[in-house]
Order: sequence, then C-alpha cells, then structure tokens
Amino acid sequence: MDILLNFLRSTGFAQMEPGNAIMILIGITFVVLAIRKDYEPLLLVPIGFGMIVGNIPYVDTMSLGVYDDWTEQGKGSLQNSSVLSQIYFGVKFGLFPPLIFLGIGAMTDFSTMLSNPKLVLLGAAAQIGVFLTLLGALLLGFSAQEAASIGIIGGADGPTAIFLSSQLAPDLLGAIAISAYSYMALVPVIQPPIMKLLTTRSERLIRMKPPRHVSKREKMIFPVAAFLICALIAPGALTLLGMLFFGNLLKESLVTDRLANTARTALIDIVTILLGFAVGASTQAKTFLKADSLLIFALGAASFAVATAGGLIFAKIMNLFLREKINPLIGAAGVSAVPDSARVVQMVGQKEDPHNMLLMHAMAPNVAGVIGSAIAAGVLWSVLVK
Amino acid sequence: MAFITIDPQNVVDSNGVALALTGMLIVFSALVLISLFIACVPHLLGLLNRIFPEVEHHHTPPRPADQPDLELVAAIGLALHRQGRGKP
Repeated sequence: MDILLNFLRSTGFAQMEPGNAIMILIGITFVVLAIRKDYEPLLLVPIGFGMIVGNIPYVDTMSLGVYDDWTEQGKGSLQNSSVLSQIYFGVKFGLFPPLIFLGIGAMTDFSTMLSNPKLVLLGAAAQIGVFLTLLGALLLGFSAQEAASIGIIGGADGPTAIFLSSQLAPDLLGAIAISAYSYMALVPVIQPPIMKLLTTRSERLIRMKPPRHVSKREKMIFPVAAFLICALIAPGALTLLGMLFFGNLLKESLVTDRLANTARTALIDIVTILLGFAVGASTQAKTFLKADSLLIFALGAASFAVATAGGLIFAKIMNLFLREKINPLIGAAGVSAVPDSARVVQMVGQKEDPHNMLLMHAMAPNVAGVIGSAIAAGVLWSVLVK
Repeated sequence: MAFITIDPQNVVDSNGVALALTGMLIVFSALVLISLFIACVPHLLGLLNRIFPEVEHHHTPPRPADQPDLELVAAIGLALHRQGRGKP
C-alpha cells in the first residue's frame, strides 16, 4: 500500500501546480497556432511541445529537466545529468545559433543585395529597435547585460537573441527566446498595421527597377570580403557571421555542393529541432512565470514595432535624396526575420497593386538585417561581457 | 525587481545613451562599408576581367549531349504542322 501511495504522490497529477498547467496550455496554444494558422510551424511545434514536456512535474531527486545539469551542481557526472540538460547544453553554451547561421548562409542568395547596395542601409536602420529597446529596458531597471539581451529581440533573429542572452543574461534566456520566436511567428500580424500607418498609398504603389545580373565572381568574393569587414569592426560577431558567410561561400563556390546541401537541409533541420525543443523545455513555470517575463514580452513587442518603423522611415528619408525612388515598404524587411518580413512586404504591396513584385527587392534589406543584428549582438557582447 | 519601476538613473549609471549611440554608429558604419564595397566590386571586377577573364566553371554541369534541343524540336514540329496543312 505504501508503495502505491508513494507512487501516486510522485505522479505529475499530484505535483501539478497552476503555473505548470498554464505553461502546458501555452504550449498547446503554440502547437495549435502552428498547425491551424501556419505561424512558423517549424519553430512553434518544437517549442510548443518542448513547453509541454518541460512543465510536467516530477520528483526533485530525479534528473529529468533541462536544469538538472548535475555536473554544474556538483551532484554527479555528465552521465547522471538529464538528457534534456545535455540537449540544452547547445543552447546554454551558444552552440546551436552559429550552426543555424551556417544553414541560413547556405540557403541565402545575396544577389538582390549585391545588385542594389543602397538597400543594405535599410537593414542598418531597422537595428534602431535594438538600441531603443535597450534604453527602455534600462529605464525599467534591468541591468545593462539583461537590457542588451532584451533589446536584441528587435533584431528579429531568434538564433542571435539566444546567442547573446546565453552569453550575457542566461537567467532570462527562456523568456527572451520564446519572446523572439513568438514575435517572429507574428510578423504577418505585427508589421502590416505599422507599414500602412507610416506610408501613403502612392508610396506603396512605387515600382522598383528589376535587379541587375550579378556575376558568379561577385557572389564568391562577397562572403569573404563582408566577413572581413564585419569581423574586423565587431569581433564579437565573429562566430555568428563567420558561420553565416562560411555557409554562403559553400553555396556560391560551386565546388562544395554536398556540404552546402547538408548545411541548408539536414544540419539546419536537426539543430532547429534540438534548439526549439530545448528552448521550449526550458520554460519551466517556476523559472518562467515571473513579472520579468511579462516585461520582456512587452519590450520585445515594442522592439519589433520600433525596428519596423525605423526601416520604413529611413526608406522615406532616402527617397528625399534618390532619383529612382524605392518603395518604403521594403524598409520593414530590415528587421531580418528571413524570409517572413520580405513576404509581408510583398503581401502589403500587392494589396495596392497586384502586379508589383516587391519580394526580391525586400530580400536585400532582409538579409542585410541579419548581418546588422549579428553585428549589433557582437558589439553589445564586446562592450558588456564581464 | 518590482513589476514596473521607472528608473532613469539606471540609464545614466549604465551609460545607456552612449552605449545605444555607439552601437548604432558601429552597426551603420559596418553596413555602409559593406554597401560601398558592393558598389565598388563591379568596377574592380571589370579591371580584373581584363587580366583574368571569367571562364565557365569546371563544376558547371555540361549540357547533356543526348538531350534534344527543345527550340529545334519546336521549329521542326511547326514546319511539319504547316506542311501537313498545305502552307509553305
């Protein structure tokens, strides 16, 4: 009888707390949104299911959760640490984000950016969201390291947000990762109202010249040269941008097709599964359901909105000086979130003019935004590392 | 941390404004440099191409010899069709 009672006390039903139930419901919501609404399913399904897994209560002495890393707690060896904590290792030590960048590099075509270099500036302008949110977080009492990690949510780049917070504010990693990926999934909801608010109909109707042909040599030289420029200016971005441009060189060199194919298919898929699941499982109610998490979500939303507005307004300013006007909608793609924000630009543009093809033009600020947010992360890491 | 406390002194103590401005400046500088580099590359390659002309890459897959030329097939098809209808 005692054995049965002990077992019943150890079940998840007996130990379930309201926080766990709330987190499980949020996890289920993520999965439903991914399946029903098609919001970033490749991210939300692993994260959502990870949240469900991470919030099943268990007996304290069992090694099951992501935080049961017993080598760190001096209670045992790696073999005694939980499987989830070993998967989470790739998040905690910033291993997964650079591998994701390798895959992104191997699937990114920089041709549009190379054919119209002025659009790179839109990717820089959108980073204003990162730095204004940093100020907002400082104003709300977060430390400089925490504020920088929260600000980078505005870079709209999940791997970059995870990388920086794992280095500067590991305690906030779960909330920042969930916030970054949630807002990336909500790009089609967040951006269109801001885009319509800040542009006139005539601006949204602007058609842009088709991009010029880019030679193979240009495409091969670009990753090496761009890496040297970025890494020499901001060495903190070396890991992320090194992997991004290495992946792109694998693609463009034409002699490493097998490696490029692996990086953009199997490797990035495996890492996405592990990263999404581990991040989801790290949202245990006792560490996640805090007032700070709510503030991080609010600041993340503000960061996204400011970044979108920054790109749009900068495009309008550029138009004051340009003979060939650019459609300011493409400024919104400077927030990175590849390729969702570029798709949103196309969608909003086509509502005004169904024959206006903005997607290829929007890809330029979009990939420039990825580079910009990685540089921003590198700068913040270099300055704030303890 | 209390739920919402506005603390401007924290911004001052952390050098927040300087950090934000410097960060933005560095990001802009890096991307402006990349932009300038991209703008210069076609001119540099123009010079380079005079010395080392761009050649077909040895890894570019060759056109399969046994695959018919689709334009030629279409032209022959049209000629046969016209001939069948009595047109020259």
